[in-house]
Amino acid sequence: MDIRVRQLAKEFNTFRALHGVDVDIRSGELLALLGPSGSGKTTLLRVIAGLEEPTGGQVFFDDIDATSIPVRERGVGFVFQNYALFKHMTVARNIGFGLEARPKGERPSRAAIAARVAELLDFVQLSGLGGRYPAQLSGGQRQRVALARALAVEPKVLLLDEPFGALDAKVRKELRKWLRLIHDKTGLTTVFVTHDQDEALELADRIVVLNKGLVEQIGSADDIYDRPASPFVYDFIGDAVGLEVEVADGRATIGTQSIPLGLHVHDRGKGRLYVRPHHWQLSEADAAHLVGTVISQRRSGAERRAEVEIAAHMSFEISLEPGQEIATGCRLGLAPKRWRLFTASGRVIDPGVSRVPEDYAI
Amino acid sequence: MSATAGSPSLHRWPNPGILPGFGLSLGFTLLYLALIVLLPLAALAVKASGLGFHGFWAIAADPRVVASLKLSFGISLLAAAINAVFGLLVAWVLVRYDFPGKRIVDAIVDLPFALPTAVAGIALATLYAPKGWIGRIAEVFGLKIAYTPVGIAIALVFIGLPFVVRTVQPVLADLDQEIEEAAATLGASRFLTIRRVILPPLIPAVITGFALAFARGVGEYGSVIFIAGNMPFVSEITPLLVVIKLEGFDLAGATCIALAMLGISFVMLLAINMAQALSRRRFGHV
Amino acid sequence: MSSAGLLPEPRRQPPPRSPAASSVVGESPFARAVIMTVALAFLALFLVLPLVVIFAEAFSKGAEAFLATFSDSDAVAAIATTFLVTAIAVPANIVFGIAAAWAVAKFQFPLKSVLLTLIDLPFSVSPVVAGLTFIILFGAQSTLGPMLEAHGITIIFALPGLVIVTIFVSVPFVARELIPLMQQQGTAEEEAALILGASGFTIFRRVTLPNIKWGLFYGVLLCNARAMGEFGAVSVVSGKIRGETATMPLQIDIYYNEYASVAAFSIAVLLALSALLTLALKAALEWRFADELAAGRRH
Repeated sequence: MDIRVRQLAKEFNTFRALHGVDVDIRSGELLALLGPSGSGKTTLLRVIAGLEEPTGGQVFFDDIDATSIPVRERGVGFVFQNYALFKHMTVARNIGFGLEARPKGERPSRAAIAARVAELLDFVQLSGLGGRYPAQLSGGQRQRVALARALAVEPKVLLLDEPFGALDAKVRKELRKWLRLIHDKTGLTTVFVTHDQDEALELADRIVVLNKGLVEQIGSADDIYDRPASPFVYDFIGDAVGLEVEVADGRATIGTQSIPLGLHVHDRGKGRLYVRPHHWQLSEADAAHLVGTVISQRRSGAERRAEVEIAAHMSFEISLEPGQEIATGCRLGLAPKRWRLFTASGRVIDPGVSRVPEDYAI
Repeated sequence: MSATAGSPSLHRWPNPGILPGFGLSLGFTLLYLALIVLLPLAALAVKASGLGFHGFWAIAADPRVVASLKLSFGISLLAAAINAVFGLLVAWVLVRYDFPGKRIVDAIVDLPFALPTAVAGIALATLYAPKGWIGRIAEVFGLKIAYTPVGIAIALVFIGLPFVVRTVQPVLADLDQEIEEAAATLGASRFLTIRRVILPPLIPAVITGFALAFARGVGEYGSVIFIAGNMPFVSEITPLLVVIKLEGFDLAGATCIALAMLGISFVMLLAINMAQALSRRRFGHV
Repeated sequence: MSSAGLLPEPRRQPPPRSPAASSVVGESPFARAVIMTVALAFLALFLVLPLVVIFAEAFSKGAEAFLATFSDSDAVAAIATTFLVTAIAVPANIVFGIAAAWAVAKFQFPLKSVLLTLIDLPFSVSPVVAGLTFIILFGAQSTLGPMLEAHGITIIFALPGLVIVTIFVSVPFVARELIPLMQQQGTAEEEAALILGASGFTIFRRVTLPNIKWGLFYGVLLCNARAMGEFGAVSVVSGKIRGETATMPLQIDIYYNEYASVAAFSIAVLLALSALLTLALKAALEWRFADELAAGRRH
């Protein structure tokens, strides 16, 4: 089932959680809603589920307007951040709850429910734990019970709110792979909320980046990482420096220095030039346009990072090969291999893409 | 024991903590409790043991005493049950709904804790007397409330209400509202959600509130005697009988009746506690 | 008996709720209206109406009749007796509550739970039985009573008896508020003061007391309400000697039985006003100083 969200708005008293969100969720895809806290990602998920009534806009399930369908009849599977398991029920009764809650005519027989519960316990690799209570399970196990409970009612869409938020780092990584597996096995349209970019980039087919109730960008991990559509996405995902520059005559000027951008850049005025740490070409200081002084360096995982100062109180990080030895205090020439310029007038200029596709427009 | 509590020679308690004042504070606490609480209760026990079983039974099996015990315990159970239902409802409204004046309503729930029982007693008696505001209306329907067991029940509902509300309220407030949303996404109706998801975790708290209201009701005196009418065999509560025996300088009789009351209370509260433990095992895997 | 006979157990602060939680999953507006109406009607019938009737009866014969009650020397004596008894019983229980809380919250020792049960015991004893125990202990038929009498000390049917039973019924209030509060606060601040060289009394006055002052006030409020209003226990030991051993609640009983309804309700008005003041202060404390009360008092 595909889901279309149109001009969705939600206000809590005076706080605008969503204003005018459009998202197309393709049938069978695994989609991440990514954003900082307060970006509206959880609200969007809850509106899709029917747990919040939007103050404007519509939600379509396939071609049906689902906006006014009550949550009980919407047929969504929802996994809550803290699982929201029924503490007074065993694992098996938790999983069977949705089936037992059906009205008399549609309710499966007791045996059928038991069989379905056993099947789901097996599916989430918790066979034999049906008689336990939630309090007797580990965090990861509870997460899987919550998922089995959501799947028991055979939902048309699976929605997960920060599914790994309450788990420690190691379990989180394991469950990440496992969720991908579950998604591939069930083929369900799956939407999950996260504030963790690694989780979104690694797991999702496509990512919706939200900020202050607006969609900043929708795209694959490659799109989001390599072609951020806005300064916000650049700042939020991955490391990058955003230099305040003055653009004129195909050059970007920072203080007394300037970087040639190419003659095809005809824009003038203020702009933000974004460069990732590993996209700097280093050279001797003498021949370079942009010169900086190494003020400190450190080892960070597989690479080495150096803090380079290009003017008083203006410095950023560049990445070096681990074996690359540069003395602190040494002067370096810097030239961006890849960059992206966001002009004050709203244009995006990127030498890596010849034309800015419409998708990336803010 | 109070004198030795803090002395360094007591090697069983080698290191209670490094702050000063342990001996003084614990010593004073124990001495105070011994004099104010333990000594009188011990006197009751000694007095009772002096009567012997036959002496005790002769008084406790007196039909008038038995009738009062039945009345006191029966009405206390009834009032506690009424409070369990309405207390839960009041707690629900206070936790879940917002309405103007909620703070005042919340505060007024504690009125029975703050209002002297004698004041409550005369107010209720006046209200439910045949000429009172409510008694007059009840009379139209042929109902007599004051000076009957119904009046006693009313007084005990008044006294016991805060116990249920105040035990259920925090548990309900702590209840994760996501479990209701979870039930809704699974297709459960509101009624089913309340019955199967919300109420079960509250049951241990309701039973605790019930037990507290019941225990208070059995011993209650001030708010009841004005409205009860105090007719032997009909509306005479056990605490009143203790007072009557005392006024007749029958200390042995008073002790016997008090003992019977404490004994039955203890057994019933034990039973309630067992139900409580069962319900916790059943509903309270938290 | 782990819980019966005690006040409600301490609670935690409820988790903050999202602004629109359960806006979609709650009861229908109709069901809400029905539930609220039933609950509020129940409270109005059982709590508000009795309160109203007290004032209505006291002023049923006009303000003069109300005021006339307080020119009766018995009424004045009853008020004085109540204040005297409360003025002795409450401070005694404050000292006890602080000592008990200091011992229980700041130190480790065996059988602590037995001590806590003992502190709560007066809550589960019927006031009438409480009075009875002191009659057994100090009454005419006891060993102690006549002995003290010979030395000119009368306890039963006299002021000392009133004071001692009042202390008994109101023992737990201050301690029960301070113990959880001080346990919650731990000993770190006191230990820091100790390291800085403060004496025991200085630590209590300068470090502990500022942290527990609102909790202490809360406990005193409840203790005071119970001490002023106690009826069953004092009625057993007082002998209800007019103008001497009658407290305000006992004087109400005396007037009511003499069919002096206005007089009874006039004194009841004073006690009801004091109860309302208690509730207002209590609510204000819970609202304003929730963080400085025992966790159990936040709602």
